[in-house]
Amino acid sequence: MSIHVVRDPERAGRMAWRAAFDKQLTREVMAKVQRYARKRAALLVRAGVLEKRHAPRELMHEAVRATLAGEATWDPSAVALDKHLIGVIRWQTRNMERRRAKYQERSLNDSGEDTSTDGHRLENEVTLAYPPASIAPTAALRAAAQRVTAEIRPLAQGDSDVLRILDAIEAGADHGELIKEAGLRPAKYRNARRRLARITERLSDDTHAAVSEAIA
Amino acid sequence: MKTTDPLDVLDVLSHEAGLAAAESETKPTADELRDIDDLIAFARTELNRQARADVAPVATVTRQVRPSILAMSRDALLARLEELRLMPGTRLAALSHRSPGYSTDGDLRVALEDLESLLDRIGEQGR
Repeated sequence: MSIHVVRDPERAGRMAWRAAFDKQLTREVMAKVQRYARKRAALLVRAGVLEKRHAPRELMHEAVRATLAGEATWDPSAVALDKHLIGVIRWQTRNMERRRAKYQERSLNDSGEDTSTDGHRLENEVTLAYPPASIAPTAALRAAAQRVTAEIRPLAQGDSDVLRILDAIEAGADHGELIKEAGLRPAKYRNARRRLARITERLSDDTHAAVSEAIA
Repeated sequence: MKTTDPLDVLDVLSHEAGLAAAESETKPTADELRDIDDLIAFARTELNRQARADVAPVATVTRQVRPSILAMSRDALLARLEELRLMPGTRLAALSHRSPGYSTDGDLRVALEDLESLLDRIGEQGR
């Protein structure tokens, strides 16, 4: 008598990956990602960097789709699904105007270059999925972005920890460097960051209107 | 202080604000919950599709297993495998790479067949 034995370690790996994805695919995890996408998109749309049609729903859908398709590589043993999806959404929405410029450039000079790395593949996917409705001048977008961040500072007056975070960001610190650059303990940093998020909700509608006018 | 691109500042600022929002305990509205459920359903459908596609072409090998091993229970298989693994003076320990906790009965039977066959050959050489 004989036994049929599956000899496919790669398949076993794919099964384990899907099981990890499925396990973390909960309402709680997705709500977390949704809150991130909503806040991030709101600020970027206000600054005119992101078009209004890129709603949190679309950003999340694209992040999940890109991950399931393997375009945004997720290693379940290294990072939780919510952190990964947040990273993908950040990547998708990062400096959208530069990506638009790149898209235009690629359209004009399509060299058929190899874009084999994940980052490039994802960038291409996202860029091509969101072709430009109009190419906003980069200088105007910069001015608009500056206007939004400048409006936050007066709203933070009196909150030294939030101001330290703003100083560190304006000095060029990225997420991983902020605690050190701002000179805050982790708990103080998290609390200040929470207050900073609340401050962004107090940005006036006038700013949005001015930004829209600047990049029109 | 170095000159920083305002777009980079906005990028980090909106990321930080987003992370703070993600960590908050705010409950989703009914509409947001519907979006979440739709997305979960989409992802599960895609996971299931991939799983089905994965099942179709599978490389298999056919192994002959002696009837006495086929008749053994899982406990008996594990006990015999452990007995062989601990057998002194042999290199059988090197073959006990399969973890019983993650193996099917079929895997265990094939593993035991490998070991018993090896023992048989060693026995024949000794005669």
